[in-house]
Amino acid sequence: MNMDRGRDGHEVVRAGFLPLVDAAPLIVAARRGMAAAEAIDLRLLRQPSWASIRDRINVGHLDVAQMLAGMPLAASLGINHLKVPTVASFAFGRGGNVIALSRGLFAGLDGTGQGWRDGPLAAGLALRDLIRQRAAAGEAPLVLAMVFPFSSHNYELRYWLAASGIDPDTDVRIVVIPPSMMVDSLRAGQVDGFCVGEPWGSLAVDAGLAAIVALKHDIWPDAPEKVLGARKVWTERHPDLLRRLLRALHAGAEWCQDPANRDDLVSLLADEAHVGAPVRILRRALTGNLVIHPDGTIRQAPDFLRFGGGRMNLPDADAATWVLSQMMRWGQVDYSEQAVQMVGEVYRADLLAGAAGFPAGVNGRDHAPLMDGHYFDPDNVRRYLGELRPTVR
Amino acid sequence: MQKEALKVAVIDSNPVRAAILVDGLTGAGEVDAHLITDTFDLQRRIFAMDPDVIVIDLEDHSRDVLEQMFQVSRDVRRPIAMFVDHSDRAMIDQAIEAGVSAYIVDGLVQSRVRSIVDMAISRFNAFSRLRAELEETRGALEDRKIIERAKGILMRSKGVDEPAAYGLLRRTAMNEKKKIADIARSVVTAAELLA
Repeated sequence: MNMDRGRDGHEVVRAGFLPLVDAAPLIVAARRGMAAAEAIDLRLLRQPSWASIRDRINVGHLDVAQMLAGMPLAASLGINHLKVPTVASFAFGRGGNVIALSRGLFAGLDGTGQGWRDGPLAAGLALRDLIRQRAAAGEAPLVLAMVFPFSSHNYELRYWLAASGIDPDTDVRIVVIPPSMMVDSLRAGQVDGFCVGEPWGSLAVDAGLAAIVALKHDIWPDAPEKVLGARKVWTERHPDLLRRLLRALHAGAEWCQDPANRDDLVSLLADEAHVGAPVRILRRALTGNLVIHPDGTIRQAPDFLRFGGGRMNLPDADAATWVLSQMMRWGQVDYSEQAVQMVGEVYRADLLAGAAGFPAGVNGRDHAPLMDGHYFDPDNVRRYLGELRPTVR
Repeated sequence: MQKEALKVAVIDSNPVRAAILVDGLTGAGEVDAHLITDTFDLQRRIFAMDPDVIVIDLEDHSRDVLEQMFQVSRDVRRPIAMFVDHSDRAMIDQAIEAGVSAYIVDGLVQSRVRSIVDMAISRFNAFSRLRAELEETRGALEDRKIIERAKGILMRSKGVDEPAAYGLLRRTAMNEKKKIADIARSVVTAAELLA
């Protein structure tokens, strides 16, 4: 039993989040009554970093938190840190990330003649050519940023590079920069591009500093993004509380997905306590009308960011196995059958399915192909990894 | 026994807290402590400094930058998060409670690292205590000012002297089981409304 009683005698749940648009279902559940309806006093605790989320979950300062798709896997496997069995019980939706390149590269990209503004692959090929020219001229490698070693951003950026014939480990330098420092780092010329969640990509375009060349769903529409993470022991100690929390989050996600609530959602996110970005910038991600170039070019991407509702919020263990495959591909963890088997214990669709009353199978359909035409087969990870390797170089 | 000084990078955007930590570390000897208050381009700075131990405010948003350095072995010697390879949970809990995070280059003698982290924890805790005391003092000062104002109002409107006005506030506070400052605050508010 969780004996912590808060407002109106409701059970207290302390939830960590980062200032990102896709924290919306959590913010809405806390601020628009879905948590209260389940007798939960949902306390939002904004965190300065993913490392802080991990540490505070581990010591119990936080009960649950928004996590990057790879974090519950890394924690459960004990990669680079304490081994803490962690459960992902809710998927915050799909999409929401962009890959952008610095204004300083535009002329060079134009010069490759690859038509870099025509699509994600054309942009990747143009970047590949530019990188080769620079290497031949003895220039320093380009610096590309993402947000955390176990972020989907890291894997998506690397996937895009590799699919374009660029080796992410040797042809470029990949660094971590916190989303809130991305725009300043571009301005200072410290990075030449990045993969980041909204609103931070649109803010860079708005400042005239970068162009968006690929969206998360260009790389793989089924790629997992943020999940609700908690220590496994916490979920086992509080089964009823977790059920109610999942129902509240699911109601929050459905509310976010409803266009009738968009204005209210934008103002909620614009609040300094939540994301704290200008309304007109936040609106871009929520409507899918993305300004992708400082010259005002718009890309209509209605599926850019989906909060879910329905069965989309079920954590997809098959898609999470793809995340694990990328961790293996880039050497964060060695391939092992046990690690692959473990994904099903971390990504638990049954918890939300039980709470919301729908069947636990995530997919009514097969997964879509990835941007390079490969299909991911979760039952044959080793073979998939073998197929991927030749696409680098 | 002569030991080589450990190079410690202290990353803290709070200059006062950082100064007392650097002071403590240097005073303890055999430590060469460097302060980083501006975390812009942190990876390059750390690379240039090449520290043995990095102590960083747990709340600093640059921590994710350091986490990446676990993986980039060609840039810097690989630091690891504190005590990951030793399951010293009590130490980790204490550190996080105090708001301290640390990264340590592999292969250092555990006891030397431990004394540095212990020092960071105690200095961080001392700093929080100081700040709490300061806030308390500030609060007490505010209370005293408001009580003075309420006494003045009562003296004027009721035509009583200062001890009587104070006695009135104190009795009311006792009867209503409230603090004198709270009663004084309502007197001042009421007077402002009625003015």
